Amino acid sequence: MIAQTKAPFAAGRQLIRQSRKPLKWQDILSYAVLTLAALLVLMPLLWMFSTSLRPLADSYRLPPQWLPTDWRWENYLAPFESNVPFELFFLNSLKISALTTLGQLITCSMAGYAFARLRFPGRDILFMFLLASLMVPGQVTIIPIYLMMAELKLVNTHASLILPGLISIFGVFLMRQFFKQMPQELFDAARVDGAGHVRSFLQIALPLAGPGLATLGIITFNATWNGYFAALIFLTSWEKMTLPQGIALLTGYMNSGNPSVVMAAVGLAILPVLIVFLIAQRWIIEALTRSGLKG
Amino acid sequence: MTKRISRRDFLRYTGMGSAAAFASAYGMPLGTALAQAPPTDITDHLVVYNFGGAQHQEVFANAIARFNEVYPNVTVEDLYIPSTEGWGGFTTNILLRIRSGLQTDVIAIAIEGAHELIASGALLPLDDAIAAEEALQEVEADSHPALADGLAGRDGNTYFITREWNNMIIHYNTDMFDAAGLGTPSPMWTWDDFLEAALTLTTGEGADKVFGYVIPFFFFGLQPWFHTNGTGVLNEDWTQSNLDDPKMLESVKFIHSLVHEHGVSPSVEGVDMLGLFTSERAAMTAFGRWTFANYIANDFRQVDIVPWPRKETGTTVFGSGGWAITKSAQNVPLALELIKEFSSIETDVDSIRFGTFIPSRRSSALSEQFLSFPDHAHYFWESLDDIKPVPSPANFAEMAEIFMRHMGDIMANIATPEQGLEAAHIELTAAMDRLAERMSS
Amino acid sequence: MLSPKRSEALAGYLFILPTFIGFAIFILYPLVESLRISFYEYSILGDSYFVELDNYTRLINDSRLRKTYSNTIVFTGFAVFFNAGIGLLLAVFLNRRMPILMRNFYRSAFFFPILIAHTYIAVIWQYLYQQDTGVINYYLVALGFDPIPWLSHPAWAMAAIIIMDVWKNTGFAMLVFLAGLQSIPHEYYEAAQLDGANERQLFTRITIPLLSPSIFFILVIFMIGALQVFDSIIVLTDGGPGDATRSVVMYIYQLAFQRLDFGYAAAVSWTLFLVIMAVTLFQFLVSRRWVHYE
Repeated sequence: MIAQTKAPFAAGRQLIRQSRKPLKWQDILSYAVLTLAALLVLMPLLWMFSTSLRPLADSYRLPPQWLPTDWRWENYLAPFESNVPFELFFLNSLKISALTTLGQLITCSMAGYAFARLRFPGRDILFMFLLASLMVPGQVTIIPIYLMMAELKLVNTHASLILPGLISIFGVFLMRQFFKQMPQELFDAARVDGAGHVRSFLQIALPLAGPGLATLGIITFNATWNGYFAALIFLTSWEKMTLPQGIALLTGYMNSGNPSVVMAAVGLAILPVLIVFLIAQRWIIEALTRSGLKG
Repeated sequence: MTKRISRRDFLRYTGMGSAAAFASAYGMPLGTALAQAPPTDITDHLVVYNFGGAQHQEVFANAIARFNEVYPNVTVEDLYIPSTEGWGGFTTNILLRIRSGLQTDVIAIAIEGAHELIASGALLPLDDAIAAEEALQEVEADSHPALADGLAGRDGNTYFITREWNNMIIHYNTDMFDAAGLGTPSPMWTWDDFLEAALTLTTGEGADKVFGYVIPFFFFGLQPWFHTNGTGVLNEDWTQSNLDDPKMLESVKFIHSLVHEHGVSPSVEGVDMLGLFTSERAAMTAFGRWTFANYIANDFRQVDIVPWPRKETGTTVFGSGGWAITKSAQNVPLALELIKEFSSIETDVDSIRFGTFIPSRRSSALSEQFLSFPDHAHYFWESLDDIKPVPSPANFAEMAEIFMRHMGDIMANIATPEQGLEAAHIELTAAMDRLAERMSS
Repeated sequence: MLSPKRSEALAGYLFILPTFIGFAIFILYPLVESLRISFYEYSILGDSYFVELDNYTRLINDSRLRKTYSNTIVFTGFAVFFNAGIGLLLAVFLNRRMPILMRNFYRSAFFFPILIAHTYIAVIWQYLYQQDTGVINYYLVALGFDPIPWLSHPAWAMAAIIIMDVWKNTGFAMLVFLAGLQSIPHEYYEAAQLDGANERQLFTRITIPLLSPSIFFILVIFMIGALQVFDSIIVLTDGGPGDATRSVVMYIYQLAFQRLDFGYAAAVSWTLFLVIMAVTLFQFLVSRRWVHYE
């Protein structure tokens, strides 16, 4: 297909460049749909933000109060001033999430590349085998894993969360799909140039896999950052605990904590992932340059 | 509770049988094992598996600091586990921990998980320790006999030293009561009085709707509606379903009518009781003391408490937390010393300011500080004179889940009260039979 | 020297080795262990008893299992359809020519809910869903509709869960689709436009076929995820009212962590495992007909 369409490329692009024209009705429709959807998505988050700044009771006033009725910014300081070591939980979560993400980016892109672009006996069966393991809910395997971690003396260490997180079948699948979408011509050309498999992977596939890596990075970082179930079982001392556990502690016994402070803590917890996302989202779109694909 | 005897009685009657077992298990003569505290220069490490929030942690961190003044070379690792996954999940965590051989000396758990833990055989009977320890007897003397009742082992042994507790009591908005001309409700009020008040307080439509009452739709919260009618989910010794009791049907029908007939309470699913109450969209609800932390933080002062309305009796419900020592604890006397500090008067007083639980000592729960808010704060302690523990058999999580699931069917009109209770009775009977089988094997 | 074919195979095995080591330790072993447990009356501290197929014969008469399966299937059907459909729609709209700042804003907005853990999201939605004091019903009534018993009616409760789930997760589908769309060279469209193709033809002849790997991925992943749904439900309705919204995994969790009935929980999980495996295999088989790579 690439070969067939190569010829009109330059002409076509020029044509579109020239045709900078007033908004068509389709443009207006798409802006309208997107704006409406964005509003629907953001309203509950605005609600959360407002709740974090006001007394709980104001969240029940009707008509609904979308904007803060009070500006208790001190709620955002409260988690740090509480006797829960919130900043330590922050650092713990950062460490666990960063290492897990790094590990997955490496293992998943390698395996994803192999499953997508290399031929070896048993490839498809092995892949299905891996994929099948996605189908087991974590709630069931956690007990054998716990007993194993205890055997290895890893309970209440960050390793107990990081080690199982270094691989991800979901991630392998995601990367496989991205690598599969790449034009074969690129790899053929590299082979002609005498590139080995490692070089093809590192110098051709990976640079093009920016969107995939960024997507996997965000998803993994976020999932680890918000992970609660395993942390609750493995991490038992405060110096090891993660942010979701910290927020659960702020929520208090029988929800006796201040809900506005909890909402503020959630707001604070979102910040790092939001930053990661904003950085990564450039990659999702921009890494795939047109020239790269034409190669 | 017919068959049960109080801990005090138990100590008087038996005592020595398990004492011998206790002493021999640790290869110590009984007297030295229990009466003598370890030397203060001992170097050791204790691990506490604790529950609760930041406020608990602060209270017990202070207690550990006091303990370290006496035992400077003993490090205490106080592990705080949020109990958000329910007591079933919390108990599973402990069992996994013990099975894995991780050091766990002292365990704190609420009554809901206590009996599962006892049944697992992980805990050490403490009868002799209590008999030998003056400090622990003093704790008991300053406590209320009812409190020890709920945590007493069904095998006749004592495994827990009581820590804080909570009950269910009606919280009402004093401003709204005044505005409706209702004044202060009588502590002897009846279901009918309650319903009348709730009807008076229910006003408005749509955005202006205000409810007279919000049903506390969780297992613990519903119990007073059964207890005050002289009945309960289980029989007296927590071995069989009691859901075929006509009085249970009467109570459930009453709860159902509050939403579907009288409209004085909002529908129960996913309702935020605390939010509705503090935003003055509900004039009454019910909690224990744990929401007072929130009232204080948000300066919500127009609140007072009153005992549960009566039908046959005025019996409400309570649940307590307890301290236990595991069988795997290496230095039991030292662990006991730590528990003594955890149950000391200083710790108890320290806990009052947080407003999350009711102290287990009379002297703290009736202290000036405790009684300062709300006006009738003395009702908290006085409720112990007519109270029953929340039914907490070893299969608590299963039992409560069965009941609440069918209650959910009833409240959503998926089943009638009759159908729902009948189905629940069948399921619960099977569950209790399985438990009996498990306990006998 | 290895032959090219052999060296490619060797490279392939080496590339998947790290994943397989982790897989063997943290997935395969616990999985086999859970299979073993499913033949026992398993106890963490006490004795475990080998009970042969007892846990599997219990499956047959378990009416709650049937109920939770039917709930799970209903949830999966709606959640996958709307998550993928709305995600695709948003991605296509976003992929149009627009100022980069606008695109970044929309994309961030749609992705935002994914960043927040379910627990906190449910807290927000509970305000919105309250029957008498809720935000949504306030506006419905203002517009002249009857208030909806969002959480107290079985069917509405399921709808409430699906809406919240789509709100939270469709951004992920959007992101994957958008990344896929961006990797379709613009030249294809430009060439087709030169040939006189209209918007709809561009969409069905270029976008959909070239996006099919992403669509396939999203369908498989969302299907697997939906069949294992847990978080979205437990925090909003906890499976209620009654069992009306309880999923299979919630039931498994309840059996294991509340009833400590690990053996039966493991048996139920294996049924779910087999069901998901069958569905996924089916998807892979069918995919050969409609998924185009390159």
